[in-house]
Amino acid sequence: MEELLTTLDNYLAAGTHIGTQQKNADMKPYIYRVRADGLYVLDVKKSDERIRIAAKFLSKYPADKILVVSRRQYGQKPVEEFARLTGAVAVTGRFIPGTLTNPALDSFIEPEVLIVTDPRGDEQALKEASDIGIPVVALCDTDNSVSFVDIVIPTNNKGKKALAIIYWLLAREILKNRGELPEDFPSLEEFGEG
Amino acid sequence: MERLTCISCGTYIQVGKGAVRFPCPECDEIIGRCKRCRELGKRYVSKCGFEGP
Repeated sequence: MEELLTTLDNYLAAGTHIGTQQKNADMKPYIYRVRADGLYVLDVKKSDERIRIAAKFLSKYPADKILVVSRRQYGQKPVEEFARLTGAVAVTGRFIPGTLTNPALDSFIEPEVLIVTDPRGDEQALKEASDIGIPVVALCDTDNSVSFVDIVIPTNNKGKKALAIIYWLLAREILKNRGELPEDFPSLEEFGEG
Repeated sequence: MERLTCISCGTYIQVGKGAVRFPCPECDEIIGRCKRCRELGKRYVSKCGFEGP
């Protein structure tokens, strides 16, 4: 069996496996069990496997052509830190409509791949990525639809710690795949503090 | 030039307007997905066995 990217304790302490009390049929393959209180729990092994796959996929693209977005407040610091480490472009907070589709805008950019923190919250970015035909990698919780998503990373996308660990692992794996992992790559604690 | 088809339903696609093409994360084979299959979140399987989304 392949080892996890980080310890199981780290995953569990960050709460990456904690889902919601709603289940979307799209996310059924990634659900491990339902707790007595009705909370759906995600399979950590599948999250780990998907981070590996997404990192492999993202490392095929030039760093400055990766766009990572988060409207969710808890995702903003990890996203900015991820972008700083990997050279990607980050858009946090409100996603100005037309950023990907209107060349007249000052904020207009032409990425080749998009990472969204929450397909529901980052709907505008998802819609524009679909309009220009670029693939989408999304962090999906148990209640998310995978509509217009090409690669799913099943995880808790609402928790501060969970988002920090996912973006930390993703950044580390991308740099590892590129052969650019620096010796002073921040620890999880440093990354979380951002 | 080879025309790209949707990996899930086999229809011919033109990239943009909802349709997309990207390399398989595992084997680099080019995967095409049409707007409808993407919208419905249809499962796709690459030649190497990679299952998405």
